[in-house]
Amino acid sequence: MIVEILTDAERVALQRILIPVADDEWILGHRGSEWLGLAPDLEEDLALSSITQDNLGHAQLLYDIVADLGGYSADQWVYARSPSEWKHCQLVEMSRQDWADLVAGRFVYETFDEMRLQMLNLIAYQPLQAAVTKIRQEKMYHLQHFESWVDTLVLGGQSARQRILEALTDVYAQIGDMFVWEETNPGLDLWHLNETARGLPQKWVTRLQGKYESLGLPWHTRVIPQAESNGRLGQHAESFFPLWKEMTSVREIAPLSGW
Amino acid sequence: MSTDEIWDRLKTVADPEIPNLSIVDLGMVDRVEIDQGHVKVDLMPTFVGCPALHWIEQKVEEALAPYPTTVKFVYRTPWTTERLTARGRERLLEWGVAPPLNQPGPVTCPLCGSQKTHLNSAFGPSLCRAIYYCDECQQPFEAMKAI
Ligand SMILES: [Zn+2]
Repeated sequence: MIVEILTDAERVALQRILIPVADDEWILGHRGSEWLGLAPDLEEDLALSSITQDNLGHAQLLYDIVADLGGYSADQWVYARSPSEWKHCQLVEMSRQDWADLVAGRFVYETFDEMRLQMLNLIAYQPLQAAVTKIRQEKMYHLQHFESWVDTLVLGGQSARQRILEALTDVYAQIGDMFVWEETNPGLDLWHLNETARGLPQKWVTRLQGKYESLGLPWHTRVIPQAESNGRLGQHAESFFPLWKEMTSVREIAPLSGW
Repeated sequence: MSTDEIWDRLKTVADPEIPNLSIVDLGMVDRVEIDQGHVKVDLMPTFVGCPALHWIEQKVEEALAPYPTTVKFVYRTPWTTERLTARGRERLLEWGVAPPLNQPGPVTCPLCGSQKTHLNSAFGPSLCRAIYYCDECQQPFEAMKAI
């Protein structure tokens, strides 16, 4: 049964499930904006700007849901947390590098995120279900977009092909914490999500393998690495700190400013 | 003041990107309620990250002035392109933007009417529009993205 009101225990549990999801989208939005004017062509500049706006919108919608469940306001979640309280994964933290790295990273993330959103849809809380439906409508275009970029680069000549293949290999080193949920996350028990959550990595590997095969690329069985530092536990790379400083700088100067 | 009057006034609030299209044509208005002289308007955002939401909220308040108005953005039922009214689809076309397709098939070129068209980029100049190309009249054009 889909409910509109949760128990106290469910509220806290749901907040803990949703914060990493919102953080992933928020950080992606910030990293995406670093490409403004630097994408390979004008069409892509428009596309990535739209996607970035979508990412920030999704994050805001999820922070609002979390805020409605009690505690911090959406603004506080974004502006009042210290770096180690952020729960996004390493992959979304990646600063601007080669275009192929962005394509590989986003393709990998969006395939995962679609599976994660399907999982969140199993939580029978009406505001969340409505938000997930809305987010998936928009996300479908993101996945299609980056998937077609993978195709373009693989089929786009020697150098492009080599760069995207290297990027797809390199990205593997960064996904260790993407699938990780907090060690003790009561929400996974409450909504019977443990099995689905455990199945995500294999489901994702199968999806990636399908993509390789459809492009005639050699597939080597891959193992998802253990996370050396775990973003879901607030462990972040050095490169996150300047971004965090920038995100919170306006709030530092003018504490009463809005979004 | 009646609910009908409110709906009529809401028809004067245009989409900031397509000025001949109102938020009623777009199907953005979810609910209108009058509570002791206070108007409550629930709107469904077309896209979550739409940067025009705040602007639309202001325009709704202005259109309903001097009645005190509270605008809320709601996601109870997610907005989809199927909510666009028949009038809205006509208006879009008049503005030169192809209406969204609610089932798979070719998009009709708003310039020449040909169906020999293909998608160029799912991301156009705003969140809700995609860029297509017409192979008949060899012109790029925009279409509202189906969601
Ligand atoms: Zn044409």
